[in-house]
Amino acid sequence: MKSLYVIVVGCGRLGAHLANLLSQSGHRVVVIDRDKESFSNLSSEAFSGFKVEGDASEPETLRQAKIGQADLLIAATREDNVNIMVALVAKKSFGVKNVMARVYDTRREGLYREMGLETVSPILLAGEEFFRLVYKALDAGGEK
Amino acid sequence: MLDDKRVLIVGCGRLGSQLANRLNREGCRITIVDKDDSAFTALEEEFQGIRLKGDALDESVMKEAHVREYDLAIAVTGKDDLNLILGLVARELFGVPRVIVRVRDPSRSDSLGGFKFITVCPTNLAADSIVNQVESALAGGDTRPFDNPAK
Repeated sequence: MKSLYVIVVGCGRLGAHLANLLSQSGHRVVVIDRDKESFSNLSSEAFSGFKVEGDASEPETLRQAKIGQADLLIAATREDNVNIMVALVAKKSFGVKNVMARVYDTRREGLYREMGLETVSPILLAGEEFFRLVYKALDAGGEK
Repeated sequence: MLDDKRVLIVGCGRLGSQLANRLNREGCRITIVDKDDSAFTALEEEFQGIRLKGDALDESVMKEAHVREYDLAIAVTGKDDLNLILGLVARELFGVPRVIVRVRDPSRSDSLGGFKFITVCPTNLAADSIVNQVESALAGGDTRPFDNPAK
């Protein structure tokens, strides 16, 4: 499998989990976070990528992460606006081909899509999963 | 169909309200609890269930919620610990046969086997969705576009 150069912005629960998974499957991963402490969420076994401490909304930080080489950028901070902004900058200013942004506020998903951003909404995904499980639990009558 | 199934939902945030609205449309009889009154504004006008304001672990709130028996309890507050406690209370004290809880922390989500809850981890779902998109794009020999199956 081809190895990708992936930048993950935000090293919270989602960002760190993604960085671990992607690094483990052989991709080259750089994680950016403003807060050095958040790097402790990375697994010492799974993660063999690089860490950049800094604010990803500043282009200099993205350059430090060698954004020019990135195949994919995933914006996974806890702020929708930061995610969208970073994703847009990556796409428009640095020409990153694939960008994904985590969004909490699903009402704006359509707008982001029009701007060419792929979005991932944990809430929507969880809603679908809950609904599927509720159906399974109530309709079939059994647990699991 | 889910007609007349009785469902207790604790937490009326984005996820809880989404579930409440949807299950209400499916014909479930819902009781939804939130400590914050304004959370209920996320419920649709058509919502026919019972809204209970208060701490779900508060005795008086519990009594009010317990006027019904439930087929299913769903704990989707913003706090993992609270959701687990609520799940236990629903099962052990209310005798609710099926419990689904949200657990945000993926490392914890893996270690909850002993509780025998059905758990949903939005973080894992989002991460899996992204990794799947990356992998399927790579398997196709193309790094773009990553179609998003989430929506």
